[in-house]
Amino acid sequence: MSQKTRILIVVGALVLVAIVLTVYGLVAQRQTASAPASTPQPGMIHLYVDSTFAANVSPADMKNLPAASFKDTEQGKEQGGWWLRDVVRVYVKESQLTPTAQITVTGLRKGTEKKSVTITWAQVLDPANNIALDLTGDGQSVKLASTMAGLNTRDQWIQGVTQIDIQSKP
Amino acid sequence: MKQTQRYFTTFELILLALFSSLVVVSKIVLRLPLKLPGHSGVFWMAILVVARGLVPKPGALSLVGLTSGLLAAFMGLGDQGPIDTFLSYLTSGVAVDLITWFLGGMDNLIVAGLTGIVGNVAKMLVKLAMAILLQIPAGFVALGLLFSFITNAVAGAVGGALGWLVLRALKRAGFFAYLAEKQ
Repeated sequence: MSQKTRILIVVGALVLVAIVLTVYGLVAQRQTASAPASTPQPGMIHLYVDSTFAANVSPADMKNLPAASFKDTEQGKEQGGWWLRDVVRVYVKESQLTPTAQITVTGLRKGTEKKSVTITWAQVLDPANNIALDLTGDGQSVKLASTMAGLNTRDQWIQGVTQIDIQSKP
Repeated sequence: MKQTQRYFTTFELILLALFSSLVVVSKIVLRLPLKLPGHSGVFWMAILVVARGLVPKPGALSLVGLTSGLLAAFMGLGDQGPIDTFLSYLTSGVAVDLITWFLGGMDNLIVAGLTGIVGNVAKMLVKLAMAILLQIPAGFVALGLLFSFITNAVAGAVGGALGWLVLRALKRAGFFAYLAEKQ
């Protein structure tokens, strides 16, 4: 087999992978769009207010939010995504939240290991804390990142965010 | 007494070890101010392509992937934990190894670019498989897949081409003659 034929085979395989990913993406997009908003849907971030399911957080809802941008304190890398305060405001009226309202963000790591952090609404609002939901570097999951003490290293951040619980009156 | 010949010479192993550490160091030190999935592949694939050009033996890049993966995992690189980090590095190395073996070397720019694409996309696919296995919300995983594939492919192609240019410069500078002498 000539090298030219082999190159064509590799290009063909890459095109096939691109097609499979496109179809998979479209199917997932359709499922996301048609999912009922009143119940928690698998594959989405679930948002609860006072232990009651409130919404499935979806990327479509975040399209119009201002982009977050800050440098992390650990490695000085640029982090982006959406400010958590803006995401919460999409689903919950700010008048419902007192400064002491607690927001618990839960994520999955290494399969079944759950990890969560609880922060107050006042901490979320503080611009110095830079609390944001950020797409990971590979663009395949969402993490909670910040520069706030106690939540400013990769080990303390919440990877693979799956759930946000808001206790409006703790 | 008959002496068994080792597959890699000591000199080649030293070179591969150096390239393994270079892969990890590049991940820490070299940063592009881009928020695009897979953009680090520009440096990563360039180093792998150069390593494959200097040690043109099947298995060389798998060894670089394995060593750099272990190094990166122990150094705590990556956001998704050591298993994800280790598998990403290993997969890139093995993929570059397999593709250069299949394409029969690294003798032109197209092959080098294609090698970079396959190496970077393989890493992306492993990360995707891990995300699905870890049940990370697929609403976010799936929506940007094609975009992620394209950015990974472009970064890989640029990295592969850069690596090929470095190899060509080394060849012109007589480095390959020096290597042959060392062996």
